[in-house]
Amino acid sequence: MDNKFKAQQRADQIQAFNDEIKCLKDDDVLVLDDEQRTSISHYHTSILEKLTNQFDIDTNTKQKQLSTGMKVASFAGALALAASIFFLFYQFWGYLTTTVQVFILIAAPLTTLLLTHLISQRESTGYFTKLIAMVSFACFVLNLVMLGQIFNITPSDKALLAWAIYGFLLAYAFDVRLLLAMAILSLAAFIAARVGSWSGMYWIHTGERPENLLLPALIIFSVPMWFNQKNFSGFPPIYRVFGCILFLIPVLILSNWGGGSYLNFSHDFIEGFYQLVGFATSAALIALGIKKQWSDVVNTGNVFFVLFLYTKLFDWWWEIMPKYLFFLVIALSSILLLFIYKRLREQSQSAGQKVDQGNGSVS
Amino acid sequence: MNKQAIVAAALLVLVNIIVLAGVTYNRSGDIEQSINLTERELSLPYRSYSNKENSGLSLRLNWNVIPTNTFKGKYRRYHLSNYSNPAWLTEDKQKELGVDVDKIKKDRGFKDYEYEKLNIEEIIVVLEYDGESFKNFLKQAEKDIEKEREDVKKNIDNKELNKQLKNKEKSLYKLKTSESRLIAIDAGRDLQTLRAKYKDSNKYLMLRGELKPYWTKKKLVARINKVFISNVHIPLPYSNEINEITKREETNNRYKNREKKPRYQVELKQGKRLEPWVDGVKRL
Repeated sequence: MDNKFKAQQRADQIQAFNDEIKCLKDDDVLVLDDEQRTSISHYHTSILEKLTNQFDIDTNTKQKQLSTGMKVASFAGALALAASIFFLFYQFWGYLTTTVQVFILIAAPLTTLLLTHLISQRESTGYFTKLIAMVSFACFVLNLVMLGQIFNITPSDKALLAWAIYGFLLAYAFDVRLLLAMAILSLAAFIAARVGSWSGMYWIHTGERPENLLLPALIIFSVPMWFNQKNFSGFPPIYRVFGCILFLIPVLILSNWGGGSYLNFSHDFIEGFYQLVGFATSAALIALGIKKQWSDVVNTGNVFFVLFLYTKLFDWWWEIMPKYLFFLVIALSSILLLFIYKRLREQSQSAGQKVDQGNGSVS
Repeated sequence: MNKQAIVAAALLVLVNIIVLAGVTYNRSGDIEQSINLTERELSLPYRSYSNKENSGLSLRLNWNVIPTNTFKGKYRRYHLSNYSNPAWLTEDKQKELGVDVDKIKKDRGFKDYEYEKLNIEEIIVVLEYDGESFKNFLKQAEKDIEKEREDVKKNIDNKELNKQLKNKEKSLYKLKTSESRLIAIDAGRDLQTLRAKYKDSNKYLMLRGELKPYWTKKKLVARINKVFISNVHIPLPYSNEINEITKREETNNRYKNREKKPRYQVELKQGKRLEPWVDGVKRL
């Protein structure tokens, strides 16, 4: 077993097996004899012990619920601690000489990085490690922003690259998905700024042309295809979801605001073009997600397909229709989508049954 | 420590070395510019609720442009700002600064105001301190108000004219006592050329900024969208001196201090990378 995600999947599988055996016994379908029960139980216990020692996984529902609570607390704690450090510095930096300010700004991310490493050595759950790693990232952001202020440095997009690299390194060193998301956003902003500057745009204004984000989105979406992520739990979905979002949000904006495009056509044409791109891309993502069994991509595609559909319906009918009729159309379109998904689901089930029968199993 | 964590530590050190080396380079060798600005040009920051806990001090750099349509219009006063399009930013000057004027004119078509379609150019802005352009503007304002006074003398009962004159007198007083005398007089792309042209290092400040061309109804004009360093950080001990002089006055309202005479003077130096720093503060 090479990562916590897979270990947890195995533990869940064992739990499901035990539940099913209990149901079969209650319905008198299958009753294991004592020897079989004991043998399976010993086998599962040893596997769970090994996985728990190695990855600190949750072996029952109660533990899972508590883990979710800990994740939320760790996330909230990291945000609050980062904000606290930021305001602490702001409250007192005016009383410090420039040398002391610079020393504190450089020492803060280094110290928290060392602390992250020390805690990771002593903690198996990883919650405190992740919390301090996020604080270290926030300290590095503060480090560069404040040095820029102290020395009146002209703002540069290279800071985004430095934050992206640091975020990636921390994410992979300590298995922190939130930091991976931060690193992805910093990298996307950096690439978008560079793409914008190729067309003569000054980097600060890169957000004014949403098309600058399309290339970074494609790069980010494709990262798990080029770099093996098997040792990092849940990293590929983060790349895929952020890739989808960074592509579809600019398309959604341009489908309503043709003025932001590089294309030199009429605004109506540009908006129409991006509406088509939006529908086609969301539908293609749903299909790709189903084919590759990427539920994250399917869900993101679904959300954006519905967003594109509803913004279009709003454009067409909000002004001219009575409100009851407008919402009725929305409801009917949702019901239509339900029928389409149901049909797709049935097709998928019958295809699955054919495969099972072909393999000789009873379905 | 695992491999990635070691690389992360090395990255932190390396990035900070690069930043500090840049600062050292900026301040090394001969000082490129040294200029004394007053509170008119470097004013206290806004103290809003959100940043009231900020103990640091950065002064706002106020600069202006002399607009093309000076003194035209019944209600125009003598207030300067940096929002207008300067008279010297003609189409030829825009071309010199890298704006593809011919292409912009050729591509124009789908909207009257294609503001968002026009790219911003990075430029170096030359700011002149209390120079000819400001003095000329002041002279013109005095000439204009003199004419206004004559008109009022002839129509002493005209309430509207009296009110107009009163507002203009107030506006002229502000221009003389509290408005910034730092005027954008030129811009370029090459620093050496600008330095050769504007040799007086105590009179000119050069800052990186951006140029934004845009269409008025028929004409392609441009304005200086911003200068990148719009606040100047004041380190210790100078921040204490300014706090002492101003008694840490809270300026929530932009216009609150406008009619007061400046209380301090800041010696601002500028290095190779056009990044300024403070090297002295004096009470006025």
